[in-house]
Amino acid sequence: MARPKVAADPKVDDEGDERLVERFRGGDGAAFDALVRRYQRPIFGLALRYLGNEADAQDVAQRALVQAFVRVADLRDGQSFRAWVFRIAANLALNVIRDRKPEAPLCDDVAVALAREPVVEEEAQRRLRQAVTRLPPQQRLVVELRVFQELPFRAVAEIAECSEDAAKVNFHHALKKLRVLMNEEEP
Amino acid sequence: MTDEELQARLRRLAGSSDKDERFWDEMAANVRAAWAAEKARADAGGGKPAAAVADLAARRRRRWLAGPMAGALALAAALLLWMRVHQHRPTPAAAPELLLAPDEISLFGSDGDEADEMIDELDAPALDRVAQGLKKGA
Repeated sequence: MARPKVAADPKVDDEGDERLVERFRGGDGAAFDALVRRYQRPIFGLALRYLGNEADAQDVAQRALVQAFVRVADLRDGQSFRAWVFRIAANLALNVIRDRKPEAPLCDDVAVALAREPVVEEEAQRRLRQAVTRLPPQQRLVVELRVFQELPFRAVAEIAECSEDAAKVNFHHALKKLRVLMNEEEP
Repeated sequence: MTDEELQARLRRLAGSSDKDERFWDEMAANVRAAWAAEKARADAGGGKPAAAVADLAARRRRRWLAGPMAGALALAAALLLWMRVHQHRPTPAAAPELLLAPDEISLFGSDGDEADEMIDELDAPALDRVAQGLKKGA
């Protein structure tokens, strides 16, 4: 049975997250839909980069969004919904990685997408992608948010639950570590 | 490689989203349906969904800890039992027993004779015994 399509409402879509969450708590379904549409793409992208395959990424993205709404009562005053949902998604993705059997190879949908690249460039990108997976969780999160989500450090700090200065330091260390890891993997 | 070059290469990893609108519509519908199911369960008295979701992690942690803790308790109990069994108890000092060699005589006999029985009151057989004892002692 086909599920009813989640309709877009331009008026609601333009509202800020805080207002939408308030309306959602009041039972407004349109606010719920607006938040889902706003975050499903970036959350799916984050999950795909963490997990390397679309099926797992879709599952994690959906679970993260559901959890974010189910547990919205735990959202602290002043904490943004964006930080909330990103943090849930990152933790769920890390749980999936942790629970994966070590010998199971990653299904590399991302590599397939890069198949158009010249061979040498693809190899360098592959090394870079592998290096990112080997970053410590906090550094990986900071890179994800700063580079892929293009968030300012203030927003990165909120999601990573650290100070803005710590987020910048983490990012700097992450880039340094990526260079080291990439050099390790050079033939 | 500078930071900017590295960041540019990282951004290329992001790739482009080639998902059409139907994909996103379906995902949004799935999220809505799942949330509605959780809400219905919570409303029907299935417990707070937030608590149920959070409880999963706690239960997993408890199961993980149960085994090693049970083992540690069993080991402690076994050690305690072993210590009690092998605890050195000082044996009571043995009371010195008065043991008479078979060929020794008791001058005063064992029949409850009065200890202060005078020698001159001893009869001949008793006197012989005394004499033999004295010879031995010499």
